[in-house]
Amino acid sequence: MAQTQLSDDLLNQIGAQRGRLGQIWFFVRRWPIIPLFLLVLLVFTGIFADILAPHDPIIARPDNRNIPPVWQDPLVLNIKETGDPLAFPLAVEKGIEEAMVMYGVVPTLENTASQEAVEAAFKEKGYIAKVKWSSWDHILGGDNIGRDLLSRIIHGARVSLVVVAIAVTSGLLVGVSMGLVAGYFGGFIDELIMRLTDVMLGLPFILIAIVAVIAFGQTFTILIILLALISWTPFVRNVRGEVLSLKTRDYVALAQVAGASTYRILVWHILPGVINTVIVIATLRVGQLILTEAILSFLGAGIPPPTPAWGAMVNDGRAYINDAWWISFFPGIAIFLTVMSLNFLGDWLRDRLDPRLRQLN
Amino acid sequence: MITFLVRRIIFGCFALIGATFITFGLSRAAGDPRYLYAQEGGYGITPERWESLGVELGLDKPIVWQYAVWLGNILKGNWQDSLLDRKDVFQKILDRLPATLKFALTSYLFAGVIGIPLGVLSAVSRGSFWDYVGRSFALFGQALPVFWVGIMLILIFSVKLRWFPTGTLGEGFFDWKYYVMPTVTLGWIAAATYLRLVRSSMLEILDSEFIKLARAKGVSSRTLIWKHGFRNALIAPLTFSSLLLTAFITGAVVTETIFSIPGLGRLAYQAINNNDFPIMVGVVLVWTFMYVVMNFLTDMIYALVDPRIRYS
Repeated sequence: MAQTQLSDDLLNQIGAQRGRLGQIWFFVRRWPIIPLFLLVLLVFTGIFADILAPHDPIIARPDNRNIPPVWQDPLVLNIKETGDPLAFPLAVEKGIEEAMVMYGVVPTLENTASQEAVEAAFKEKGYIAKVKWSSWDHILGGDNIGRDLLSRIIHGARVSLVVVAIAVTSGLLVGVSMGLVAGYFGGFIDELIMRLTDVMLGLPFILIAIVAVIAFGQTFTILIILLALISWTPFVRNVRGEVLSLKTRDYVALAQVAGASTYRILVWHILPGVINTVIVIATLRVGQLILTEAILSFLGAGIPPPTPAWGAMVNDGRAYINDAWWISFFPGIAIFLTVMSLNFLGDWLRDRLDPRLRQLN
Repeated sequence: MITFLVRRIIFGCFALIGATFITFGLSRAAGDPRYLYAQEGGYGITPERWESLGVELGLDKPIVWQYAVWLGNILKGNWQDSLLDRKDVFQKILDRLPATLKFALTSYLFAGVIGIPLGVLSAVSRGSFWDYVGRSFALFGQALPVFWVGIMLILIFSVKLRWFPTGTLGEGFFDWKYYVMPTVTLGWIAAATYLRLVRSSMLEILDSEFIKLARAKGVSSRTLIWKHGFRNALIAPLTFSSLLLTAFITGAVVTETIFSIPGLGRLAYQAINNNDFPIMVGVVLVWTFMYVVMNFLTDMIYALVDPRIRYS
C-alpha cells in the first residue's frame, strides 16, 4: 500500500538498484504474479478438468478407501486374526516393517515390495492384514469411499467456478443497475432501494439459505439463486455512492443539455466512471462467495452430492481425521489458495484503480 | 440523538418483519406445510391430525390470514413441535442458547483482545516485523475456511499432541480447555476483520493534521497513539460490526458442528440433516432477533463514540 504513493518511475529506479534476486523479489511484490498465476491455473484446471483429472471423480472404488498420498509411507491399516469385519483389530496404523517385526514376519525386500506381498506374508503367519498403499496412480490419495482425491479437487474447481461465476455475474448486473438507478434518480426510489439493501444486510443470510434448501431441496439452481441473492448488496452501495458524485459533473450536464436520453446518459456517460469500483468489488466478492459456497456445501446445503465440491470434501474427511487427514486437508488448501489469490488481486486492483475503497472490508 | 434512536428502532422492526416474511414465505412456498409430515421421509400423520392441523394453521383461509395466525402463534411462544422428537421448538432453542452465548462471547473477546491491539501495533510500526505478523494473520484469517481451521486444530492439538479435549464445552460453568480451539476457530476471522479495519483507519488518522499538530506540540507518543489516534480509529470497526455479526453467525453454525458444541448452530445443522423445518424456522427467527438487537446496540455504541452521529 505504501508503494502506490510513489510514482512508477521512482519505483523502477529503486528496483534497478537491487541485485538480480532483489529485482525478482521486487517484481513479485509489485505485481500480483503469484495470485494471477494461481487463478489462471484454477480457470485452466476448471476448463480442462475432464482431460486433466486422472480418474473419474464420482465412481467409488472401495479398495482405494483412505489410501495415503504418494509421499506417505504405506501403512498397515489393521491386523486381525480372522476375516470378520467386526473382529477387534490387533494393531492399527503401524509402519509396515514395525508391524512385521511385532507379528513375527521377517521383513525382506520381496515381501515389503507391494500390497499383495505384504498381505501374503501376514497370511502365512495366520493374520489378515489390511494395508494402505500409496502410489503415483493416486497422487493425493483416496477419499473415504475410495475416490481419487486429486481428480475430485480438479473437478471441484470447475463446479466452484461455474456456480460462483453465474452468481457473481447476476449479482453484478442487478446490483450495478440498482445502484445506477438509485444514485441517478434519487428521491423515493433511492430510499426504497437503499432500505431494501439494508434489510438484506440486516438478515442472517446463511440461515435463510439453509431454510430455503430444506424447503426446495438441494439443487444447483437453488444454490446459484441463493448466492446471487447475497452477492448484489455491495455493488448497490458503492455504485450509488459513485453515481451521486458523478451525476453532478459538467459532462453529464452537457449530455443532458444535448438531449441524450436518460438510458444513454446512464450507460454511456456514468457507467464507464464506475467500472473501476465494480471490478474491485467483483474480485473481492468472488472470493467471499467461494467461501460461502464452501460453507454451505460443508453443511450439506450446497452443491448436491456426489458432484465434487471442496466444502463437502472437507466434511467427508471429518470423521476420518484420525487416520486419513489428507481427505480434509487438500480441498481446504484449494479453497484457501483460491480465496487468498482473489483477495490479493482485489487488494492490488483496489490500490491501483480505486484507492477510496481501501476501507471496504 | 432521539431521531437517530427512533430511526434505528423502526429499522430494526422492519428487519424483523422482513425475516418473518421470508421464513413464512419459504415455509409456504415449499408446498402445503402438512406434507412435511406426510411426504416420503416425513414423520407420519393421521388423517384426523391432517384435518386438525389444517384448521390450526388456517390453511383454508387467505394467505394473509395464515401469516397472521402464524405470527400470532410465534408471538405467544406457541411454536411448532420439532418433527424428529416432537418437542416444543421454543423450549429446545432455550435449552441450546446458553452454550452458544458463552462460546460466542469468549470468541468475541478473543477477537477484540487479539485483533485491535495487533491492528494498532501493525499501523504504528508499519513495514516492521510486527506489521508483517499482523497482516499475515489477517490475510490467513480472511482466506482460510472456518470449518477447515477447526478440523486442522482438532487434528493437531487433539489427535496428535493431545493438548486440548474436543466435543461439548465441558462439564462446569467454564472449563477453559474446552474453549481454546472453538474460540480460536470462530474468533480468528473476526480478529482478522478487526485488525484490518483498525490498521487502515489508524494509518489514515496518524497521517492527519491534528496528529501532526499534537506531535509538534510535543505530546508523548503513547498519548498520541492511544488517546488521539486510537479513539478515532475505533469508529471504523464499529460501523462494520454488522458485517462481523454475519460472519459470527455463519461461523457459529460451522464451529459448533465441528466441535460438537450443543448450541443453536449445531441445532441448525442437525435440522438440515433431519429436514426438520420447524426447528430451522425457530432458529432463524431467534437468530434474526439477536442479530437485530446486537446491531441496534452497536449503533448506540457508535453514537456514543462518535459525536458527529449524535448531533446530526
